[in-house]
Amino acid sequence: MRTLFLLLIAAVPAATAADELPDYSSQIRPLMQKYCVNCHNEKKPQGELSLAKFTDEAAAMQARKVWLNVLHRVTGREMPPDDAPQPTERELDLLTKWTAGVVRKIDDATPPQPGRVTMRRLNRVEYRNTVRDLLGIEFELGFDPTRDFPADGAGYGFDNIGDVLSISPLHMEKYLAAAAQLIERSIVVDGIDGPRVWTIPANEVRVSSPTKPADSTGQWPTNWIAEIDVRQAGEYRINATISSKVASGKQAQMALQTEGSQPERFTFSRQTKANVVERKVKIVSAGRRQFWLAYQHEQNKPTFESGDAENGEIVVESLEVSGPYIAVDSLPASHQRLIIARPGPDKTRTQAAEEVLAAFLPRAFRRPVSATERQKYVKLFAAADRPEESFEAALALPLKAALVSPHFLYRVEAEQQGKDGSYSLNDFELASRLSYFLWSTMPDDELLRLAGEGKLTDPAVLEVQVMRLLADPESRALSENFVSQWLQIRGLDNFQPAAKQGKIGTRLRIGMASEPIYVFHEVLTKDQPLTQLIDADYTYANGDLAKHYKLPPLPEHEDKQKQIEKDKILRYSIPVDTHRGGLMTSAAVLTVTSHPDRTSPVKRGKWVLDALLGAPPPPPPPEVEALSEPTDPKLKQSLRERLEAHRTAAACASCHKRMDPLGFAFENYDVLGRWREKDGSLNIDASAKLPDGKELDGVTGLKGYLLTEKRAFSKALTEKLLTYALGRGLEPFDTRAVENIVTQTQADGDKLSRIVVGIVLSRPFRERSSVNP
Amino acid sequence: MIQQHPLSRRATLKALGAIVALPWLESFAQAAEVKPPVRLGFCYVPNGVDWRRWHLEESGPLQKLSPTLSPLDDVKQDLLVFRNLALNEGRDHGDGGGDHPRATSSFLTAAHAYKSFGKDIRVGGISLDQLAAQRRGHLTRLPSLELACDRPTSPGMCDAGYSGVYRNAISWRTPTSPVPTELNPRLVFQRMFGTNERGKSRATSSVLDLVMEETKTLNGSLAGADRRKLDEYLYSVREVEQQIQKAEAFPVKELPPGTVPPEGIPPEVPDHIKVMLDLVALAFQTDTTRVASVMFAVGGSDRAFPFLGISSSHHHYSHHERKPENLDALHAIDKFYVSQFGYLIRKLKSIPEGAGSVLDSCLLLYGSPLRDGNLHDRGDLPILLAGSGGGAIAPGRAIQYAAETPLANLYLNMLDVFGIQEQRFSDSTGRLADLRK
Repeated sequence: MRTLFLLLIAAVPAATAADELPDYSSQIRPLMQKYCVNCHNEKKPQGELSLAKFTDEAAAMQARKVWLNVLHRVTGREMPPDDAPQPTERELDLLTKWTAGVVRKIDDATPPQPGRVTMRRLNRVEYRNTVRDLLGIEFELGFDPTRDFPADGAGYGFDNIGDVLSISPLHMEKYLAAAAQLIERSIVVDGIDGPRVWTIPANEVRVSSPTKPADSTGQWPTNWIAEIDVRQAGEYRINATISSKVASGKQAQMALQTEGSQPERFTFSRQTKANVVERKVKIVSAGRRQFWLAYQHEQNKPTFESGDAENGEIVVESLEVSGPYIAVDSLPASHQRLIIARPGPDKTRTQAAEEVLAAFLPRAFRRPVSATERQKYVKLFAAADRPEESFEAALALPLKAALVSPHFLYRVEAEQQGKDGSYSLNDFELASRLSYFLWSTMPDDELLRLAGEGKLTDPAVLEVQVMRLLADPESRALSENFVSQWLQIRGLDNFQPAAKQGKIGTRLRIGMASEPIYVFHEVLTKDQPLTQLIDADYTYANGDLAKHYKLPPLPEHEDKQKQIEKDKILRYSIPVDTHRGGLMTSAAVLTVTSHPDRTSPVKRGKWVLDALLGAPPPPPPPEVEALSEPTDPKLKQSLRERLEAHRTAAACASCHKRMDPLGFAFENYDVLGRWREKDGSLNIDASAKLPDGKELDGVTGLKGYLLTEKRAFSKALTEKLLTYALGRGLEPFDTRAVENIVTQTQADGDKLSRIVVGIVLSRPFRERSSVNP
Repeated sequence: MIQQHPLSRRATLKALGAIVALPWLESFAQAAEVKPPVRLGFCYVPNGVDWRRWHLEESGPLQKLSPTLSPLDDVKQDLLVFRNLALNEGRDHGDGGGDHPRATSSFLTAAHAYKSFGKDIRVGGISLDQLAAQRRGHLTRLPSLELACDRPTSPGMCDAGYSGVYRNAISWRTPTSPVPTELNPRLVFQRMFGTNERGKSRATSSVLDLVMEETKTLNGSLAGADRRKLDEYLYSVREVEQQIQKAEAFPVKELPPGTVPPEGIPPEVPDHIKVMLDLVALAFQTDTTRVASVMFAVGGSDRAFPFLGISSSHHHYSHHERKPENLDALHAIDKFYVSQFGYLIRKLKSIPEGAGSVLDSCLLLYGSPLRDGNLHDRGDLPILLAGSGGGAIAPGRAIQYAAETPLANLYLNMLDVFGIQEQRFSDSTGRLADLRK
């Protein structure tokens, strides 16, 4: 029996040496003439594949993709189609040997090169994490300047691909706005040297009244408004000097107020002179803000008519606003981290600014910054600096500028003159690659220090750093961003099941999305073998997901089930018969590979081929259905027409033969990934037969099968991780690096963490091809 | 409310007139009988339609509309229904599967997408709206608006070998730069009517000057695709700088009475589409821009329509396999989207301008780059045009052209009406006849 996936996925049997390659012209071409070119010819190439044009081996050597495809199809027994003449075992062996061999020969003939990653813009996640670490601020509810960034384009299944991460005027607008909000949040720009005071004499107070505008006749306004440019969020005080003359038995009610705050009321019931009323208000963001004294209507009825001599009158003599009241000993941590110098007796404002920027810019640009470069930012400070304003107010401008600089927004890797068409990245470029790969953020102080000492290019140091970064909680960024895209479960957010399938509540959705990430993270950081990803004896769930799975309660929580926080994601050991464990039986995967109203064996099978085995089936042919439009049965079809229709069906069948059985193995899981024995009234049949005749019984059978195809899985995972790590699609010349990593990982006990180490130490990660190698 | 005096405003604008063209003002038009400017609007729907219930057999003056178009019955005098317009460049041309990304990016470009999962993203030309914006955008505060009512989707690893950018945008500024869409109505409103404080815009300009200087230096140390990325960055910086200048040159007009700034993205799809269309109408009415596109959904959209009482997704139903239940669901979705277009038509018609309404000055294109989602075919596309472009075309009819007439021919006509004379647009073979009757 042929082993389907080993050949299919690993693609190239290890033992085939190039010198044993069967002769193309005398042995292989005749075989293809006999079995293939009837359909795959130049005139009307089925599946857009022509095998007629490869007249000799030299021509064949130009078409690696074609032979890889042929190898997959032939060894998978998908081609030739069932009702076409079949090659003999010997012929099949010859074909396999040659196609596998020629792919290897092409790879061997491809000059090794590390490849070129296109300069990457920080994607939204990376931007968020980077400003968080650079500025030392936290994103919290109601504060997320990145919320409205345009969605990042995706390529090769990931959203960190340099070629696809474009920038538009819309991005630029948002980056500018975000920079302003972020710096405003990070540093205090006003009030450090004491609160500012605005006194507004009565005649400059803006008054507004819907009915009675203020004039000189003593008419009464309803509101007295002071409009002030607030430079800094914080506590402000507003006070009013008021004289009142209220008739006996009457009351006047006034309130001091600002946007978004509750009014604080003052009641006047008799005669007062120059009475000062005051209240504290919190201003949450800088900008032009109104503070006002309002004449209160009680239940929409004034207690007295303003200016009504019979009832009394109120005279506002002045309004005064002061602030912000900043406690200098409790400035935010971000402020203390950024503003490391202030002007003083022995330091001019420009000198202090230069000190701040000399510390900030290298962290913002993730590399040393020359004095010339820095001077531009110092100049920007100097131009904005006003002696009457605070030092920080002017400093905010160059800080904002740094956040929209190409050196910040892009991960720049400078072009070098390479030897032999490629060059090694410098220490700082490497620090960024490492940090964005494992943490999705800027390099930390230790990485920058090592880079500064020139040590990071040392593989031994690099490996220690990989392990340090993986052990740090920040490495969850890798698990989150990689796994959610590798498994294609980001679509879960928008998945709306049909009503009869039930609902996915918010907590269940969170539980579903988290499970595969937590499992991957444990395998990664606890040095477990990657086979755990296929079949683990544990999983993670929050309250709702545990219920969804009908998981038995955790022993340690048995007595106090009710007390388990439903939000908390806990680790569960998987008893036999719970049908869980491993990524592919997670509800998230099973749901995103379903239609809203029914399961889709096709989607699920395709998912296994794509995500786990790295052998996605080709897309359906274009306008596929056009060919299968039902013809009028009254018209008699010609033999040719019927053959056409048959071939079309065969073209579909060849892929569905691979996808569908793998998908049927999941039939015991419903649209939302719950276990089921029946679909409606029908018993579930989860048995499946692979194209090579191998039979699987349900997911247990599939898991067992995948475990025997460990190398294929390891290779697929390595390819995805390498794509994510580099931020570019893989090219044929990367095959060697991938194979090396897979082999090395196998030798190291198949630990997932070794794949990560292997990637970081690989040539594509540490080097770059020159533009014209 | 502060009283505005139309004449004094006009005088101010006149003073600027030497360098800046006059924004369109209703009161001004009445005084001077100047024709309102032509506006171009584009509404994109994915996945094709249930063709049998969409199409009209008969040409000539519109009588009874088809079931799908029936929600437009009251505005049929403002409508042109086309037969046999095709997007040949949306076909695969040997590229294999991937109809949705290819179709989406061909809709306004009439050009072919280069099949790529990430590297060298490009289409064969720029889109109609962007061409219009590039030529005439200097006349308005914003050159164009690109709106969407659907979150861009990441196709995962297998969208038939196309990067997600192809299905998430219909506007292409250059053959290699898709224009991202704005989803949040609040932010669209801010873009349209946001004011710059003088000090702030000066500070922003100084920041932009600095980064532009940096870009020049950086450019010297880059090569290949990195340089193209930096060009894109530089373009964006320059564009923002121009917007700052334009914001000063085109002061915000008094908004029509009753205008309420929208909030964030409404949770329900119909509300979201409606508010985006309101913004298009407002943008045209205030002459904030003359070019706007709205993607009702992204290409290959998997949107569910629980509010129509159907359980599965648009894309799912579009592969109807001729099953009546699928076709019924698809028809309901088609009708829903057509009704939204009807809303825009009626809205623009309700806003008086000159001797008629804003709609009169518009050419609103509605359609899908696929005819039938089951077939993924590109001939005889579902395409509508509303408005008369200031009397340049005569609506109220169905027109049948020869099979496989390029949709790009219509695009040439639209450009003519907009005041841009082009010899060709992508695969155009000439202009459509009979649009004037």
